[in-house]
Amino acid sequence: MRISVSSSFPILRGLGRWAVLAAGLMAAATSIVASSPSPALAGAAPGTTLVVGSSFIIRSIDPGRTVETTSNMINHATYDSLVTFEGEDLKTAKPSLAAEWKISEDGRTYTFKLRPNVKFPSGNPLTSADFKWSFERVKNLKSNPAFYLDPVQEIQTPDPLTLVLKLNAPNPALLAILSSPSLGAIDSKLVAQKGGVSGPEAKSSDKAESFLNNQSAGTGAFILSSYVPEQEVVLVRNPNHWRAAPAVDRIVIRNITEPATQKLQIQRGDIDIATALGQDQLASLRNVPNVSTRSSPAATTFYVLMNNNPDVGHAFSNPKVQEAVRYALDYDGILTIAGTGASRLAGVIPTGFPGALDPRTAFKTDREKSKALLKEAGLGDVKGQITYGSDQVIWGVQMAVLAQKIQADLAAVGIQLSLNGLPRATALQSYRDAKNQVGVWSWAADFPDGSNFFVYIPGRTVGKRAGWPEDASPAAKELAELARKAESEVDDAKRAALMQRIDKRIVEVGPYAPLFQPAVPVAFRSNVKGVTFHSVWGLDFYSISK
Amino acid sequence: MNLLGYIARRLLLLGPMLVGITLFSFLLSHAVPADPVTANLGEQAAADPEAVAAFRQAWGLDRPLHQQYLIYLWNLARGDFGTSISTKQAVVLDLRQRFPATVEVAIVAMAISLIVGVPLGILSAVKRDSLVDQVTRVLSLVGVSVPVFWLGLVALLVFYARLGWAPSPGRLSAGIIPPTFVTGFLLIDSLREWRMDAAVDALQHLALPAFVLSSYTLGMITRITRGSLLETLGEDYVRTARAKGAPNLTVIVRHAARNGLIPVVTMVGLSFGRLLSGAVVTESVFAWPGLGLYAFRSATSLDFPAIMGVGIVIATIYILVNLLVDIAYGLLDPRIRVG
Amino acid sequence: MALNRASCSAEAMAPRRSAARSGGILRYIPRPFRRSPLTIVASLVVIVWVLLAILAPIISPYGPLQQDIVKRLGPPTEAYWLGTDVLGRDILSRILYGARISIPVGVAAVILAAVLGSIVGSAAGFVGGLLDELMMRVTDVMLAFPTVILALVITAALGAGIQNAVIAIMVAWWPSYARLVRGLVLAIKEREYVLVARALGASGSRLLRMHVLPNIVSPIIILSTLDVGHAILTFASLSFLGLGPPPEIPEWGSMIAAGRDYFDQWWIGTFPGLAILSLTMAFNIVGDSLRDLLDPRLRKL
Repeated sequence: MRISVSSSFPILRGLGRWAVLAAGLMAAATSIVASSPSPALAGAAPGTTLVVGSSFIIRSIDPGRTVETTSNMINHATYDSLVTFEGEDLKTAKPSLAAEWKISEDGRTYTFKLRPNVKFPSGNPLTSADFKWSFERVKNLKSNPAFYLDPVQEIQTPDPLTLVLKLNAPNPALLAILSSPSLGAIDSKLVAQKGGVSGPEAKSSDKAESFLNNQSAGTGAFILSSYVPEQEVVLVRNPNHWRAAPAVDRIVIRNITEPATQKLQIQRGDIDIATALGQDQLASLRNVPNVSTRSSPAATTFYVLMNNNPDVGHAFSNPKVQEAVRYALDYDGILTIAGTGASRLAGVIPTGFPGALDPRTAFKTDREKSKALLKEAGLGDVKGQITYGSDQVIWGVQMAVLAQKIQADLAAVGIQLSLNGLPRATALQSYRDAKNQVGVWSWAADFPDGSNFFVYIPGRTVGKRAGWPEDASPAAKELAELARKAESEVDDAKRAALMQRIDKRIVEVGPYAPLFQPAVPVAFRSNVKGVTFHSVWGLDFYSISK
Repeated sequence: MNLLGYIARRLLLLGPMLVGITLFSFLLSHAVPADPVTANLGEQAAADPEAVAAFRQAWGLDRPLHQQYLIYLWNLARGDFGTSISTKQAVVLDLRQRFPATVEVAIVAMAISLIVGVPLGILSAVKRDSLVDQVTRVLSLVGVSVPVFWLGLVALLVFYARLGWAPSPGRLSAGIIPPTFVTGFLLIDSLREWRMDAAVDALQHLALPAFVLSSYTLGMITRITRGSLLETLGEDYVRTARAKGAPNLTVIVRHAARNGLIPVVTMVGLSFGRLLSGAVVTESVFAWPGLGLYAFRSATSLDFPAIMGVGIVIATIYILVNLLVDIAYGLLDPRIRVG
Repeated sequence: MALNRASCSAEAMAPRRSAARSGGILRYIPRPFRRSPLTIVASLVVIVWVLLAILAPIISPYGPLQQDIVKRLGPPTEAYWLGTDVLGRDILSRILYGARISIPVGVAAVILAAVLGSIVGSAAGFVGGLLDELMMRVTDVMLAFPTVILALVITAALGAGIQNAVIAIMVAWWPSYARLVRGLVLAIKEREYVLVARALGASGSRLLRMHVLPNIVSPIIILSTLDVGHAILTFASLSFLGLGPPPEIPEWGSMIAAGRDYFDQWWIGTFPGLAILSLTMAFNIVGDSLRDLLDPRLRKL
């Protein structure tokens, strides 16, 4: 008599058989699936690859249409501008495609001598005509970077290696502006063939954007190899670059939206550099072996905005209430949220820029004073609504968390704020339409110069959004005058002094409460060298090695 | 009414329904109070009226609403879903790139639900009230009650962050070169090129999101199978077959299963909708580049063409799946051929 | 008509053992409850949660908005049993207060959807003709959108907030109730006693009140109960995506979302999820038993 397996193992009888079989299959499947994930570089391209974690803010890679941080980082690697800044420096312009330059006595004519023998990847040589074409395109596309060239009245190209810019008025910030990746040299012949237009009809007839989103046309150390929207950008080394070859052959910039994931990936070595960590994630990376962290001060100010227009701001248009708010905020607590390396702001100009005030002179929390001021204002219970981008994370600081902190701080002195968090698009709309009663926002420098922060002046961009026009009060008029004076002041020292005066005054009479200047949270594997994070274009891939 | 007539009638209704869906999507997406201009122009440009006007003109936003809708319909008829304001690509291309990601994880989730759920349900029904049954019932209850996004987070926490078993969220590891995009389904594309490394990597990345996404349908299918089987096992014809001496397995497969599976088929159709819904949060948690995440991002950045494109595609898939389910239902049980 | 009940109440499809039970035996100590310890436990869980919600202001150790920045991101300790979140708020207190939102919202959303759906559905089923066709087409279109996606677009359009989220869920769910009720009404309309009553000259409204309504009430109640858990889940999902109440409000879904960025501080995201899980499971079990008790006919829906 055969002894069947199923009688020896009762579980194998009947349906048990199928259950065991299924379990076996599941186990096998699980073991395949759960085997350790492939090592990061299996099947990778030859040469050194740098993997960068980022949180994409890319609306376009076309230099004529972009000012966003991630696009700037890419274009800084693929295009070269006339001048540049080294590392994180914001003060001294260094030659890039312009080997040398001269500024006229009256500050209105800039003459640049271009570097000879520079070629685009297509083989076309770089000439001043390329710069003229690129600049005119930026101006005429009327897109995001167009305002950069507002100061420029005329562009002349007396010979293929000389570029002359004539300005409307002296503008000490011009070199800083010219370093922007959006003002890099584009291969005009190639892009014109692909539908690029630089003339006045550019805004409706230029069709080169999709070409430039997939291929770069600049002289930079790297070439754009591929761009998958919301996923990754790949850059490869430009073999015909005019400088010595960079240390890295291939750069993969991955969009990793979750800061927690990015933190784990840098910990594990799945990525080499993490640029989009939260401040809290950075803090927990400090003691991790093989990971270095860096907190470079960002050229960004965070501030609370109150609307000076009585129709919108209601109670918050009252100067006493505004001052009460400034005293009510728990700045130390806010600084904790702002993360490592963040610094207090006494004014609206961040540290590192001429005109910045000493953080030690910043407002100190004084709840009693705040309550007294509110009483003086005599408005009874102050209620309001604070608007912010609910999904916005700027330099690792979650705006939603900041808003809740401010809400709690003001509640402590009796001001009831309700949170009006909107998705970025909607929140921005309200902000730009000057409809925020109270808002918490940030302002980032578009180019490395203190005059960027004149936007807070009454009648200028942020001033308008805060309902603070020039004619709001004599103090406002005075400020506006001062600003104009500072802008045309050619002497650096005088200019700095003027800007400091302006900075102090803005906070005294303006509807703002400056909060802090954050530090950019960057983490990288310890074997990566040369990592710096510039306020405008982030990482400088040329100087990084592994 | 015969089956062919039924199908024909349903297909005929498809057209007007799709138009209805486009209208619905259009109205919904344009009910949003904010302006895509804000979402897509930088600070300085948005302050410049010329830049704003240029943008509006380029995207057709300066025309009256009904004109915009009609233009949209006209383009739609020619297969043009417009261009996404965020990605600057044709919406069709965006959808084409993301559609396989969602479908791939949904199919694997559905497969898990069926492969695990049906046998488990059967086992549970046959061994009623045993320990296996009790445990299965509790687990399937957990499956239908658990918030999918939370399960995803906990799964990431445990299997990715702590244990390191699961790879990082995403479809492929960073170092793996993706296979050539033919279908968009990573498993198919990599096997096509005999790229086993990519296929295994893709499978590893699929595991956790698919498992999490399957939680609801797995629980539900287990429950339905169990309940349905219990019901049919008690039916007359089954008892007769048993009395005649047919072995257990035969009874189950031949007699009970066919009828018992009718609700399961319906469930597959209904759970598909649930899977698509679940995809939004699952893709959000796992940063999975599929339709769900696309829908969410478009909705919050006011990318009208994208919102409408996604809405239409998802609704169409859903209708088609329902139609297939109804047909299958009709095939399985001629009694149920309601119009 | 295809069975397009696009909600989780496919549990209704799960038949129980067909004992030779004469329909509609209403015992006041219900057998399913007595027989299954699971159901007893589940009912207790629901009751406990409701009590916790009501008593939250009294029993919470801290206020839900009370911040202590210095103690932010702290692990579970004696002072803070479930740890603190990103602003130093006590998670236990926020979970307790969160029940005061989740439970009423779940119930309200379901009631609104059921009422609206029933009105439309019974009107369509009763009156028939063009109204019926119109309703069918409209619900077809609306049911073609998976719930969360529909709710997503609606809340994006209307803006975030509890009210709008409830409206979004109501708009997304009423079609399935309408279809359900329509089916029930159609079935009842053809019953003999209704036909007789009509022949005898009873008015439309009388028919509706006396014959139709009483018979549809109990299936609706059962399915609504089963849907409450689902409503709580959907609301939490919307909240998770950022479309619910403002972040300082202790809503469980948004609390979980806040935990996404903090794998190391796992307590932030884990505990609120357990709260949702326990409540939803409890509602599902109770709903199941209620169905078995009140109307075994629902098996065949």
